[in-house]
Amino acid sequence: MKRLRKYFTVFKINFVNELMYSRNFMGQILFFGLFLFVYSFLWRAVFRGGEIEGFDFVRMMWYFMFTESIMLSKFVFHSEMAQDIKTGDIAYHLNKPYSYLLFMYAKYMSSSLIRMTMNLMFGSLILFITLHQTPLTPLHLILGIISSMAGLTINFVFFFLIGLSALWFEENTAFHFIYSKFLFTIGGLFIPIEFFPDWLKNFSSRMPFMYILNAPAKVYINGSSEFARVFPMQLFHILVWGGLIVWLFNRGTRRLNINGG
Amino acid sequence: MKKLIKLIWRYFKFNLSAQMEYRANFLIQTFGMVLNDVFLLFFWWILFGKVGMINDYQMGDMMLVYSVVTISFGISLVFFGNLLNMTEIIIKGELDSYLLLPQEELSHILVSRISLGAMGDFIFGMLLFFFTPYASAVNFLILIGVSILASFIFTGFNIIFQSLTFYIGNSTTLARVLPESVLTFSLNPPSIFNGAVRIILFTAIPSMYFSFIPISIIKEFNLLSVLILVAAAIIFMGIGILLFKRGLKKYESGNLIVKRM
Amino acid sequence: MEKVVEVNGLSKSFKTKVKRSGLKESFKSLMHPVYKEVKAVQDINFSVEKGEVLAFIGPNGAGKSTTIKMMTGILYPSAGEVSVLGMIPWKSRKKLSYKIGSVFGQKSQMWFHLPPEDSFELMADIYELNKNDYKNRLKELVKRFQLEEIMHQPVRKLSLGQRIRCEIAVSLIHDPEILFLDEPTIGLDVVVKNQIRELIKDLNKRKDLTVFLTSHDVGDIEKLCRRVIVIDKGQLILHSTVNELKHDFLKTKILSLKLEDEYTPQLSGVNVLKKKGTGMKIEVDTQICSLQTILNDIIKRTAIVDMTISETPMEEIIETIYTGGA
Repeated sequence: MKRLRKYFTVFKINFVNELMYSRNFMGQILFFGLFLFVYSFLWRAVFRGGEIEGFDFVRMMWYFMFTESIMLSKFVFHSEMAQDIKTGDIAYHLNKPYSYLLFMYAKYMSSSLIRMTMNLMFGSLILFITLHQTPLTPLHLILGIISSMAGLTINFVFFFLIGLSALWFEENTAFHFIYSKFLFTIGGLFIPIEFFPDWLKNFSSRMPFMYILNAPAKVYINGSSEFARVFPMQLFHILVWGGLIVWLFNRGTRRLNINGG
Repeated sequence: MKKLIKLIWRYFKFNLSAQMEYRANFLIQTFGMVLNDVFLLFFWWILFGKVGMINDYQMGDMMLVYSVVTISFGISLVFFGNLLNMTEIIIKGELDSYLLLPQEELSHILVSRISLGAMGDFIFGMLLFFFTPYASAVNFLILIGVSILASFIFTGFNIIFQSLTFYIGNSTTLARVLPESVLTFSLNPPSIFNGAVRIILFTAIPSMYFSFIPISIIKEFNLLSVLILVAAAIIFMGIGILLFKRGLKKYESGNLIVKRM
Repeated sequence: MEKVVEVNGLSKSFKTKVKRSGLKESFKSLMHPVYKEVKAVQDINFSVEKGEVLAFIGPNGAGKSTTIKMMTGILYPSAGEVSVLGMIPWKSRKKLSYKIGSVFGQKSQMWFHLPPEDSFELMADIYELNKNDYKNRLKELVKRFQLEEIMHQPVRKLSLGQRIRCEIAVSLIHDPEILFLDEPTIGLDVVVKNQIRELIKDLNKRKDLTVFLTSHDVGDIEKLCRRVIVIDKGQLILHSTVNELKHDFLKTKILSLKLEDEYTPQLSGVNVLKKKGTGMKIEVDTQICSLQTILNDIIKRTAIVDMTISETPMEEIIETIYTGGA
């Protein structure tokens, strides 16, 4: 336990740090509000009081708010990590008695969680005031947050993977770009997987992306039954992809140590 | 005027060759933008696949909207590449270098840079048009015409908010948020917006001039809409130029400069 | 001599908001802003003759850039008159711009990402130069500034010295009558600094180019300028020639001596700066003790093996002026 305490300290420090840099975050919140506003018109026109694939106008708005709350909260670090690797600074980290991986994870989660919380509070406030309805219940909220944290963790794994690519590639911006586009589309950011044609639905459910955005959002809306379905899959992806990066990281850093950075 | 056109050509040529020096970056910027735009369409492909129509709009109409928006924004930012940098130029004092030259300031600032991303947008928009059900030689000419008019509206609109820096000291946030808002609103079927919002979309956030009006002209040519577009272009450009000139006078009285000393 | 610049009673004041700390005060300032007047330039008078290289110096914040801005027409004054080449700068800025050139050493020009040859072509269009005139002028400038090898290289690949050479050359493509140079040698090493100074001197001599130089580098002033104007806190505090400055202002001479025996000066007005055995450096205030006196004294006591007489470094003179001494 004592070994893990240092990561909690990193977490705490970053948390406070993030609080202080909330100004540029205000810009993001503005955009968040803007998207909610514009898409309310769109979905109202689409649903026209009806239902599609288990969604109605209200649930759709909340769905979108939930996916965006996660999407906009992600702490991006792949370029920072690439820098560390390219300059060899990463050697400092590797020499210290902590895991670089866990260190980055603590940093990432603390920033992302605080932003996600602020997004949730802001988004929920807006939707309560305008829609007067919500599929949220206290239980849904708790399960949703747990599922979001799992989703954020899967995302972290991929971010770390993109960062690691700096060990073998010159530029990793393109990877980040492609990854974001996957989240955009088959992650279910703007439109739930349920709306996809069957073949795409099948394909997407085999991919980890939907478990980052779509799954947690559905948990907030549908609660424990949804949670029981998706959470194991989230854990599965965390283990599989997490295992990959641990293995890659060990191999990669061994290479670094041999080559002397 | 002839001098300005010569300058536009010179700057375009020189900036392009300077950017092509960084070959990788050039390709990424241009084609990255094309790719980015393609992914935006994904959302509509799924949605229309599910519901067929939204009010009176179909997938083809949405694609047409994207075409007009990307072409007009593209035209504007390719030739007036510094359009969204004006605030920074004013605040950093780079405006002075322009003032010391025998060339009209506003046009000079605007044309001295080009935007590579905008070129990607332009290419995307042009190609996309041929996949819409409205593709025809005549319609293509109309498309170019309305896009040019719309690009002046976009240009004038941004000049207004960039020039506000002369009056309020720093309009960076405003100047960034508003064009994004125009973009967000315009990339939707215009009929989803109700009365009050529509008025705003014809004035403060002029997205209707990039979606509703150009589309109606292409679907069914009518002179009134064209005249509205022309009038809007003149009004926005006129107000923009006026605000800039007045602001420049203020700048010459020096009170802005003190803040930088 | 023909005067190309005349400045009379020039003043410039700015209104700034008084900023106070604390939340309550910030709120108050939002509701009822209080302005205070900052007098950047107060009642300045000077003139510049055709073909001279004039130094315009002063500590930071003295009002130098404000004055130059008014001379080039970027700013208009609160009071007073300025005439540059017979024109009122802020009224005829565009017209004047055809005849003046400017290089601001610290600010990179907007075409910093283009190779020099492109910048020249751009300028040719902007100044609406005749094609033949431009071609001839370009050839001349490339030769004088030795730009042959770097013409095609993107500016980001050039060294600072090469960049400055290009910038000065570009600023002259339209054959201006006055050149405003702001910190042209800043950041350059000694060799390159001299190169640039030689270039400016050469231009001034051959083309009768009037140069208005702002610099913190004393070497620039000493090597290039005949006259000096010193401005501080918005006011002109000194108007002199470089020689007068050195002669009138501080009458100290510095003697570097190598003597046969050790010597300790007992005269007033003489200061020992450094002493090591029979070698020493002394400072003589010639207003108190004449050179004749001190030399006689030395020769009486010992013999002079070697001696150099130099003047107070310009730096010290300028510093004294800035700090209001003498």
